[in-house]
Amino acid sequence: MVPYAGSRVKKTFRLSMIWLHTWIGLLPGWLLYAIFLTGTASYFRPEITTWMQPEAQARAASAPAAMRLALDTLAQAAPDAQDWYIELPEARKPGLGIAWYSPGIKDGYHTRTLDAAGLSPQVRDTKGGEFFYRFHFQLQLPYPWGRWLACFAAVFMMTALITGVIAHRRFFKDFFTFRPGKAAGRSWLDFHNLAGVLALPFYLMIGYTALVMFLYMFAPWGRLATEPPAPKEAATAQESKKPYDSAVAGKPAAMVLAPLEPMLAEAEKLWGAGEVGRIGISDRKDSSVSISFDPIHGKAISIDSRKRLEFNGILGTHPEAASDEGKKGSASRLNDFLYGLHLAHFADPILRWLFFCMGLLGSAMVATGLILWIAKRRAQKENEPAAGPGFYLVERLNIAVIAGFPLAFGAFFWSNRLLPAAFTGRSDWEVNLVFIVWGIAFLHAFLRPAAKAWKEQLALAAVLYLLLPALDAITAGRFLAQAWRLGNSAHLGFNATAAVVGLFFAYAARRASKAITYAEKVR
Amino acid sequence: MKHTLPVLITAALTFLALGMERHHLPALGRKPSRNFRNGSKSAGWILLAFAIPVAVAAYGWPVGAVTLFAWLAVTGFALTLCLSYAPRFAPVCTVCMAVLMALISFWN
Repeated sequence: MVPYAGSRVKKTFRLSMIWLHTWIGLLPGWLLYAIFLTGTASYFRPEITTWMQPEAQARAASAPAAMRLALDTLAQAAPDAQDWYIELPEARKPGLGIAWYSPGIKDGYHTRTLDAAGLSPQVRDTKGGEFFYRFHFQLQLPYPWGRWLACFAAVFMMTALITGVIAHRRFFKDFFTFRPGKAAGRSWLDFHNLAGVLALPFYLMIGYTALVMFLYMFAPWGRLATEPPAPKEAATAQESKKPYDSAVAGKPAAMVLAPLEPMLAEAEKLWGAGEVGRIGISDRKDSSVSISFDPIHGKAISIDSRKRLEFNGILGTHPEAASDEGKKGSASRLNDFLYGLHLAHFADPILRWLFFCMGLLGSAMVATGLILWIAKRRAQKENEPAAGPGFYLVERLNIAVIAGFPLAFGAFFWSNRLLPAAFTGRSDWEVNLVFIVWGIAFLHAFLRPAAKAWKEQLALAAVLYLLLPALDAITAGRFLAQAWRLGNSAHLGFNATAAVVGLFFAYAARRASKAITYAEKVR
Repeated sequence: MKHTLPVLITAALTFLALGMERHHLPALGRKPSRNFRNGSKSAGWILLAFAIPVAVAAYGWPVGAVTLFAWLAVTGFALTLCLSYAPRFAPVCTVCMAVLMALISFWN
């Protein structure tokens, strides 16, 4: 049977499905692996941010006090900004965040995290978990190219899943079966089937909801036909052509706002104390200034289960709702439900860990699939002297992505602890270092013999992750002790997880070096 | 309710696995009789069916379904690793899960 012979093989349905699964799985495989891993990390977005900003963790101020501090700081730091945002501390994210937005200037959106005294250089500037979240669907590429790539990755993923079920149809007979140490790709195939089948409902859910979330990109016509362009967007588009200063010059300073405390009290009464997540003050320069309160996500799945609370910024009253506003159609409600299912903000800690594990299983499914492609061809090509350029490319890309990408993540966390807090542009440099290290991993993967490259990159990743808790204790020991005292499970859990990840890579590196000795014996 | 769900699912999957000839022998050390295999499989399916109302009672329909699938995937993976590397421990997986869940509920 030669299922890989391309166009010759269209004989049966199943063979063509195998062919499709092989190539549809291979092409976006590296991309899917990166998306799977960053998405998995994004389940713990606030926890990662908490670890990466250890200075901001000791906060137990009440919501009104936090809001007052944020407003005072914003008035000092960004008196001219059009919009202000406040991220109140919550259980999963103890830092108090502020953000401001000035349209019409490059990089007009700024975020900062405050400590007890307000804006302070003591709190290191970092993208934190946000980096993983953004990478997951934008791939660190300029808008909209990253989203388009992620969009196509989702389409390919659904195709690979469905063809995969047909290609690997024997999995019910082999259920609960993993045979380690078997030759010629048998073990990889076992693991690929195992990871693929066990969490199949999860992958289908993630792939399908991702397609729904991207629907506005690859099928925008329904929306364009029914929704007129929002007038506010048109206005900002015009405004953004003018330089920002002249737009401000002719207008009076910020409007006198109605007091925010009663509004906050109303929001807390509605949702409960500590349930207010984000406060927005938009169009501050205008008489149309409005103030909004968004709740943190509740226990329901839909992202729209709790409605935003809005106020007129000058009068302090609720705006009159348009008659059809707030009444969503069933399609729209389904969209909110599927969106919420993908984001999993509703999950309690146990379910969040389960999602995390299934995300890792998904990454392993993609990785073993990619390795399997090589293993099968190596078994076939044993008697041939040299492998072709395609084989070489896939083999090396596998190393640079499967081992190199987590390695570059490790560099992200290390740079967070090693770059000084006062370093200018440090949050950008943390990200730059990820790509510098990843670039080196690519070079290394293409220049070294494959088996050695595997071993070295896996070993380096093991060292980075295993030593991360030690690095944390050395460079941020004060905060680690504080986290221990306060029972900050995010900070401690991050270190524990890093150690487990490091152990896994150490095991993988050991297996890779065993594979080298095996290959040398055979030769 | 929340914490009994994973114990039920582990038990169900273990019974299903022990009902398969391939896993029965290394786990229990003897060849299974046809009756044992059928009984074990039935027990597994019944426990699995019973897990559905438990999940719904603990979380409600939507989150309950999600949680049920999530536990199936993760305990299934753990059980498979156990069957490959230490098959003798497979029958006590359920006990381990019960202890773990008792600890977690105690912690909370």
